[in-house]
Amino acid sequence: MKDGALSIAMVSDFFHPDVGGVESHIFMLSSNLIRKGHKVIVITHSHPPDRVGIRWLLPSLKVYHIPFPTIASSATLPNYFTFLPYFRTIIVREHINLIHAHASLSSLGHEAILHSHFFGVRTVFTDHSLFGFEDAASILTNKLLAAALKNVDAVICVSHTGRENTVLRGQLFEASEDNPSLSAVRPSVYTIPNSLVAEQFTPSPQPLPSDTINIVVISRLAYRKGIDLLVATAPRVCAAFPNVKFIVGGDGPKLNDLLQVRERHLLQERIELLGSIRHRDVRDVLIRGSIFLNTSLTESFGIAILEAACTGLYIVSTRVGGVPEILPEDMISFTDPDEDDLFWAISEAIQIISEGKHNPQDAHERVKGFYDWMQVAERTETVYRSVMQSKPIDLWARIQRTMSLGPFAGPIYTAILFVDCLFFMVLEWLMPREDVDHVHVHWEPEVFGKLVASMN
Amino acid sequence: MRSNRPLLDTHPEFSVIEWPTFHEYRVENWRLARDGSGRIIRGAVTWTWLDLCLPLLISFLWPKVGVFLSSSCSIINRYATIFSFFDFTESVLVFPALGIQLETHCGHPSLGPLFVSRRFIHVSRLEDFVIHEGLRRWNVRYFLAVIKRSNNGSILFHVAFENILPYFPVLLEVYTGVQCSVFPLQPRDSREIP
Repeated sequence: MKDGALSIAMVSDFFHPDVGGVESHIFMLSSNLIRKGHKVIVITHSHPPDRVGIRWLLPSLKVYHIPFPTIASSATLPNYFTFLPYFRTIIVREHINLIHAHASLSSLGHEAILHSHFFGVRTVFTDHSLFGFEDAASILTNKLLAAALKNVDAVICVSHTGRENTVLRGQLFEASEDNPSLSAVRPSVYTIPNSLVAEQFTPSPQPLPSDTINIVVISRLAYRKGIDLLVATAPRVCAAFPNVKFIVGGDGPKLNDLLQVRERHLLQERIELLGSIRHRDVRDVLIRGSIFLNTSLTESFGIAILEAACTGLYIVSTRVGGVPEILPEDMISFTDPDEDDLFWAISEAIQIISEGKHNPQDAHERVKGFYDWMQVAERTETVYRSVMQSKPIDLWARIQRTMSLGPFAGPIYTAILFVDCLFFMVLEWLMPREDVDHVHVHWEPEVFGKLVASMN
Repeated sequence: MRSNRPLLDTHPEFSVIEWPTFHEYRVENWRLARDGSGRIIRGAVTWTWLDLCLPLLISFLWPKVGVFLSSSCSIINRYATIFSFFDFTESVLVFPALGIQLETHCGHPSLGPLFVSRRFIHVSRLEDFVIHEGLRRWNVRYFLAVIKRSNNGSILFHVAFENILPYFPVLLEVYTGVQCSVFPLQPRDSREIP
């Protein structure tokens, strides 16, 4: 490994074979960091029966699948101590310098940050989603997040709105140095957007027939994706514009509502339901349409919108979360999460398309240049370098910071920290470091290059 | 028959024995302490699921024969397990152009091998011989795997040195030896050692 190369462990519950934004973010970021010369491994939970143990993904990405059961949508329970033995062995044998944890709902990520100080390993956390503050699930997960982020070295968010949300939820403010009675946001909170692979989302070379305008909706059919808005507005749009059709891809609990509205208004010819779509088929669905509709009630970045814009579609979206930050004003029509406003925005979009004012090829050329995974990797590398150069938090400071969480959470988390230290000492005695099977060979990236060259 | 210990300083329990028609890579059930002190560690008697029955056994015997007798029975029972009275060695035998054999010899040092279990994989069934890492209890260990293709086309694998599980340098020696003898025309190993 060349000088300055780091050994990075990406820790998250959400990784392939599950498909999603967080998963592909981790994979693309790891691939680009490997291309820059760092060593990256991924630690996640297993997907029995076949995704277990240690596997390799191209390019030279080692994935550790730890045998933890999942409770809901690929998240594991927050067992603070059961992860420590596996984590210790992996970090010691792979000679890791830095942990990068992803996703607020990932317990593995939080625990990795908790255990990291035993090994002198620095930590970075990336938050991918926006959460509320009022409901019971949010209150609990926000407290868990605040406890985990008390002792993290840097936090990365995917949009400015996401950054505000994470700072408020995780209480990432401290007494400012100039005036201790005021709070200031920690300087170690960064914003690095997501990206997409533009080559996978190219517009169709043939122009679409001009008599029909197709509106494409691809999303999980759930409440927070605003499917109720779509259900309310689709019949009005179909009645007002006889040449407009809807193509809806995706599956979820709200599928029944869509089926019912289709039946009630006899729109079987006008609303096409495709069901669940694989990620590699998304582009083929997108090129059938001219307008992409996103009705989410909350969205921290909106990678689906970006993919649609890259494929040359004109976007109509609710103005929520980080969506206003991702595209220029002339490629997207915003609306409030309200039926009438949405109808008005869709009408505007239909008019723009009918008048031929939106050119898919030009849109693709523009979006191609906006986002690039290598840039994301470079910006993340800068965060890593500043983290490695900063002073680590020593144990006494850690205890004080954990106690400042609150009158109940503080002592609870400090007790967890103490027991963790004791368990670590037991593990050091039980499985001494000299008996660990250290890793001496790793898949060299040059070999991958030769393999690709020999295949061409 | 020539015997040689290629890793004498760090892993003297590993020896390569050249018989007239085959080689044997033998690992004995002891190792040097890895902290450099030169202490010899006998193959550790590891806990198994049967040991969980110890408290159960004590609880049954206690009211009948008293605490002393019941605990001493259990302790004797525990240490009379096969791996502590008997010593064992494991080997990988390489028959060039014929196949590979995985052997486990159980015996006493002065009496010679008493129980032997062998598994032969013919070269036509042998898909590959690799080093891979696996999770074992709370640990991650390297292991040697023989990948075998069975009659109906499905893939199975068998672990060499299953009970002793030697460390990586030993595995690398066995791996390079087997690859050179059994797959002589394959391209060089893609893993490069720095």
